[in-house]
Amino acid sequence: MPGSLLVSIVDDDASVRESLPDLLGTYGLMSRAFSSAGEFLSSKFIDQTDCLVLDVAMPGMSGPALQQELSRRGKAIPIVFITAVADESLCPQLLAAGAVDCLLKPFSEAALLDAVTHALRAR
Amino acid sequence: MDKELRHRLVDRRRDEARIAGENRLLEMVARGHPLPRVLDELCRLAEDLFRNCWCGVVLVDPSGARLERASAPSLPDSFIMAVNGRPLRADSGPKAMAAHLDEQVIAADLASDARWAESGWREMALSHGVHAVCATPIRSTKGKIIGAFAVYFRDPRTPTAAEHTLIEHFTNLASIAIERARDEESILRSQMQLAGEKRLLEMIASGHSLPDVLNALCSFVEEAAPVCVCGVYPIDWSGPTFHVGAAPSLPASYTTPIEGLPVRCDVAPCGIAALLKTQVIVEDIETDPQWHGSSYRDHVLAHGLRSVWSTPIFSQEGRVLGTFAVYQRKPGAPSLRQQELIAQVTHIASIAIERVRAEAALRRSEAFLAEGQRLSLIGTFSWRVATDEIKWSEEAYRIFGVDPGTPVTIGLVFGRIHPEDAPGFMARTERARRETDDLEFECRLLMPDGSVKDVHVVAHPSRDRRGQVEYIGAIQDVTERRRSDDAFATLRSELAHVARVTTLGALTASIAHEVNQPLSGIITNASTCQRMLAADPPNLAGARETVRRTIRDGERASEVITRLRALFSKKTSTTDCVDLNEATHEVIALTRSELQRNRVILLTEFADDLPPVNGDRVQLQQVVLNLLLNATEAMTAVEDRPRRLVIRTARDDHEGVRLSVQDTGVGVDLDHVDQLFEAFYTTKGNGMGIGLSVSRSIIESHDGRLWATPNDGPGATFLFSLPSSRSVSSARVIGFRKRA
Repeated sequence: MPGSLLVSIVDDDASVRESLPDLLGTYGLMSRAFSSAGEFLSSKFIDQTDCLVLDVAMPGMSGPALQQELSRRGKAIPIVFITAVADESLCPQLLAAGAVDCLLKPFSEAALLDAVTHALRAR
Repeated sequence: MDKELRHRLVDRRRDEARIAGENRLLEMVARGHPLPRVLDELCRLAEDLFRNCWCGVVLVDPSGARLERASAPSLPDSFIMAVNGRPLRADSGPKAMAAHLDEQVIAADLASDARWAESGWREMALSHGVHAVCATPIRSTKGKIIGAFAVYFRDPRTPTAAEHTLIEHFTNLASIAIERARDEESILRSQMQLAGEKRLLEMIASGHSLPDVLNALCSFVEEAAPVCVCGVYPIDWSGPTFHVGAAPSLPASYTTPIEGLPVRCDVAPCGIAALLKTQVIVEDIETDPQWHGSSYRDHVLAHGLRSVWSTPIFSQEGRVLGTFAVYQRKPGAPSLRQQELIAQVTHIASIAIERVRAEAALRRSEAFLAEGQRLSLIGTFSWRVATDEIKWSEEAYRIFGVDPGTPVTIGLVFGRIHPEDAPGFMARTERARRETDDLEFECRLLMPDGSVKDVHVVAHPSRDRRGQVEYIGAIQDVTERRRSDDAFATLRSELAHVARVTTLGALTASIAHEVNQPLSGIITNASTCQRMLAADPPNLAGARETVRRTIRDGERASEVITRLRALFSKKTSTTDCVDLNEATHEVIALTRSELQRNRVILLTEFADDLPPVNGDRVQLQQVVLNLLLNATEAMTAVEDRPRRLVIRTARDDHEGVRLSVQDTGVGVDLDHVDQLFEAFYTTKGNGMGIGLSVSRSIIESHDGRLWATPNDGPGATFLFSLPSSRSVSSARVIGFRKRA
């Protein structure tokens, strides 16, 4: 597995920002956590990001809105959506808009790894 | 004796006779002889001193319009009659002219004097052998014209110089006599009137019947003004019709048609008086053009009456209660004195009629009160603390199940108190004796048939002039209400639960979010831990950190579940001291994702010094939750402005607290703002309307108030206020009732 890949995590929930980088780290993946879409967009890591793990519902710009913004900017970053809101219609929409996967919180380690590796392959 | 000496002797005798006569007259005046006798005496004395003449005195009536009370002892009644009542005009006759012009009037030869030919006075005087006249005005000490003194000569001539001096003497004497008599008469009259008035007012005060009082009133007027006949006609405005209140000197044939006579301007002068609120004077019904050809005219004339004076009787507020009618058998207008009398008695009649009507109204309202007490199951009582003297209203007797009229003793009361409530009741009454404060409590009565009544008692102490304490209060049978209260409380609780469940549906996503977040953290951390421990060498420090996070997230999830369980479980209410800020924070925590999902910007402005409130924490949170969700929903269609929601807490007036939820949504319609709070009223498709009515019911059960106002800008603000626990404790009802 390539060692220089960067997974960026955008989630307003501190628990996710704390736990996900550690888990991904055990798989040798680099990761950066951002608490909002704005913080990610204005960071220098936007162009180095190989996979984006993105929360759906956030204050300010939501996950899907960030997806659109990246698409508008021509940044083709593979996205894995994560959401705590069980909305059956949401995931198909996001996938249709180009997302690699859509995970419902709480997700298993395997599901996450599956989605992230899928995204990295799709790069 | 020579001629001159004889003349001087005659003059001297005449002077002596005059002086003796004057002294005699003054003595009569001083002794208070009746005025007609004094004036007759004065005329006779004058006639003795003048040659070949008659003398007369006439008075001007108090109104100054007519001559009255003529004296002329040596002239026949026909002459006197012709003088009395003449208007005070220059053409009526010499005395009227003198009084009118305030100057002496001399007619040296009536036969060739045309001044009083037209009025008929000249012919009348000539027919009595009068051929010349000298009329002199009589002035009071204040210069007012009070009468006239006339010397009627049998031959055409003028008074001599000596006679002029005598005339001056006699007018002075007449002035003294008239003034003195007038003073006495006026004192006597006012004494009589006062006595009459007092007698009438006493009759009214001592509760004589209205017909008795009005009859006495008419008799009083008829005595004071003997030429008058009176009637009092109260009006029943529901008709409106006249009734005969009293007319003691009028025959039934006169009064019968008045009973039930419609109050109209065209039926009688009384109708005009009542409707136009003015006095109506018909001087002579026979000639009055207004009543010409009317059946009223025939009716009055058929009873030998000519003049009718009708005066409205006003209530204190100026309503017309009826009319007072005065009739005379001859034409004429009321004199000033009669007018005074009329004013006086209409005032008394007004008092009498109002008093009777007020009493009738009082009896009616007492009946209403008794009926009201019966319907509302509220009895009233009084309790003199020092003597234990107790009085009950009829309904109080009914509540206690005691025959009305039975003397009430404190023992009788104690005997009805439910044994379980008796110690509390005793303690409360003992405290009332000691402390004299407002009483309010509930207790149970055990009735002789074994049934139990719940009663609510409220009483307020007052002190009489001797400082004795008396409680005046009300006792209400609340047995039925208690039952329906219990039923209502159950219903409210059910409704609240339904509302909670409804809310639960709306909140599913939010709840899932709140639970899933920490679960997600737990699984991720546990997975990480597992991997760290499995590594070679194991990452123990990392594993320890992930375990710490796992525990933390587990606790977080558990907190969410605890809050949810509290908020949505069906449990009966409990009362604690609630920090509204904290309680609101918890609600916000549950709804955060719902707000986010709806792109609602939530701002909080919480007061730091908010006093706690007494109440059911979960119920109050339920209200906050409802307001929050409603506000969020009101903004779902808003795209052209920020969806901003502001929750504020603040101190209210009177130590209360207030919470407001302000949104920028579609707003409320002022016309329908009250409907918003009605159960099942909703302006929204997915029906959260039940939340508002239940919310209001919850807030009101906390002695608070919930209402809505439109914002200055877009949106609405929903607010509730609650008394703080400090203000509540002092106002709490004192209750010692043990619930079974």
